[in-house]
Amino acid sequence: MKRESMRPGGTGSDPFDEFVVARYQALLRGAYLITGDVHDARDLLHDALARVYPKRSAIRDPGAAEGYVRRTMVRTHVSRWRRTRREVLTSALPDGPAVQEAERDGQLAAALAGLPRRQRAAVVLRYYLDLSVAQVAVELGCSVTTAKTHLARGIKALRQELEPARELVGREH
Amino acid sequence: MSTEDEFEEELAIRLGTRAAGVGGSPPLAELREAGRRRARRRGVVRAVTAVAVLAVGAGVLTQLGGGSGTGRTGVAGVGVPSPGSPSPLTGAARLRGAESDELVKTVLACQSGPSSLRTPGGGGMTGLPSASSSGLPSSGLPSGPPTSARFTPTMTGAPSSLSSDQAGQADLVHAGEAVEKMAREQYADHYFSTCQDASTHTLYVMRNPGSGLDAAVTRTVADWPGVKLEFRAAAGYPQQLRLAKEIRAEAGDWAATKGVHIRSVQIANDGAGVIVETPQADTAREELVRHFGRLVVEVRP
Repeated sequence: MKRESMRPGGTGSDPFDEFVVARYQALLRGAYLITGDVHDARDLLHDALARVYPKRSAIRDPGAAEGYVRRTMVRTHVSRWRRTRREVLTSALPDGPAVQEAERDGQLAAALAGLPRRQRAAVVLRYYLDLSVAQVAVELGCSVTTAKTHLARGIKALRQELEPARELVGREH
Repeated sequence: MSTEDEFEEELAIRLGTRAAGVGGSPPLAELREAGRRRARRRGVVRAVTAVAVLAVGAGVLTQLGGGSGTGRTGVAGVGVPSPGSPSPLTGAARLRGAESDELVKTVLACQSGPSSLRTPGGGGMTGLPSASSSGLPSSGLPSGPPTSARFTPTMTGAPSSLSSDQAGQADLVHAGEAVEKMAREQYADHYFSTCQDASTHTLYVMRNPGSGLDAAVTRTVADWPGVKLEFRAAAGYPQQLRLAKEIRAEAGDWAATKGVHIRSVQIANDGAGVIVETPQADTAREELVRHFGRLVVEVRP
C-alpha cells in the first residue's frame, strides 16, 4: 500500500509521518550523542529516515519503527564503508543556540569523541537509551560478546578520561 | 553501590544532560523527497547492474561456446566446459579462484569445520567427492559487497529477532567480506580465498605466505573480536590453474576416445587442487586421477 498522500509539512494520516513528528527529537538526541556534533547528527538522522521512508510500508509493527530507524542510523554511522555523507537538503536553518546548553559538559564530549565509533555507539545505546547488552548487539549488528567488548573498552576509556576530574571534585568537598 | 555502578549511573545522567539541549522539528517534506530520490537512484543502479550482468553473461557464453577444446581459457580461466557439455553455464556459474569476479563477492562456507579443509599434499586426495567448502555458496547470512546498504536491518522490527549465535555468524560474514575486499585490493598476488567455519566462528584465509597480507588481515579482523583467524598456505594455485587448462584442452579427447564427458573443471575453493565434473565420475574417477595426478582432488558428477 502506498502512503504518499501526505501533505508536505503536515502530519496527515501517514503513521510514519506521525511517528517521525513524535520521535524526531528523541532520535536526534541519540544521534547527537553518537556523532558528537549536532549538524552531523541531523545529517545522520535525515539519512536514516530517507532510507526508511521508501520502505515504511513494509514496517508492519508501528511500534518497531523507532528501533528500525535507530538501527539504520547506528549501523550507517559505525559502518566504515560509509565513505561520503549523504545530506538531505532542508530549507530550515540549523538550531545553533540549542546546542550551547549541551556543550557545557565539554569533558564528556571530549571523552566521547575519543572513542572509536562502535564503542561510542555502544555506550550511548547502553547508557543513554538504556538498552540491554543483547539489544545493543542487535543495534550494532554484532554478537553479544562483541557488544560486551565494545562496551567494556568504551567504559574503561571513559573512566580513565572522566574519573580523575571526579576524584578531584570529590576532594574539594 | 559499587564504584563501577556509580560511574555508570553518573555517565547515564551526564549523557542525558548533554543530549537534553538538542532539539528541532522534522522537515517531513524534504525527507519524503529524499526518500523518493533514494528509491529512484537504487532502481537505476539495479537496472544498470542487471544489464551489466546480462552483458557479461552473454560474453562468457559466447567465449565459452566458441572456445571449447581449443586451449583457450574462459573469463576466469578455471571453470572450463568441455565439448559436448550439456550445459556450458553449469561450469561458468561455478567459476572459482583468484581470477574469478564471483569469488571477489563471495565468502565461502566451511560448514563442516576445519576438517573439511583439504590442503595440498594432505590426505583425502582420492578424487572422491568431498563435503568440504568447495562449491558451497555462502551461508544464508547477509552477504554481498560491504556497502552501507548491506547493513540495512531486517524489516521484522523486533530488536531481539537476531540471536547471539546469528549475530556471531554475521560477524564472521562481515569479517570475511572485509578481508576479501582488503586482500583483493592490496594483496591480489598473494591472496587466494577465504573460508568460514560457522561452528567455531573461525575465518580461514588461503594465501601464499611471505607477504604483509597476514598482518593486514589480522588488523582487519581485529574489528570483530569474536572471530578467530587461521591462515592456510595455497602456494600451488598457479600449478592448479595450469592443470585445469590442461584437462580442459584434453576434454575433447576424453570424450571421443573414452566416452568421458568432462562437463567442467574448477579449482577447489580451499586451494587443495582441481575438481572435475563429469557424468561418468564413478567409472572414470580412478583413471582421471591416475592420468592428471593427485592435484585432481575431486571427480564428481
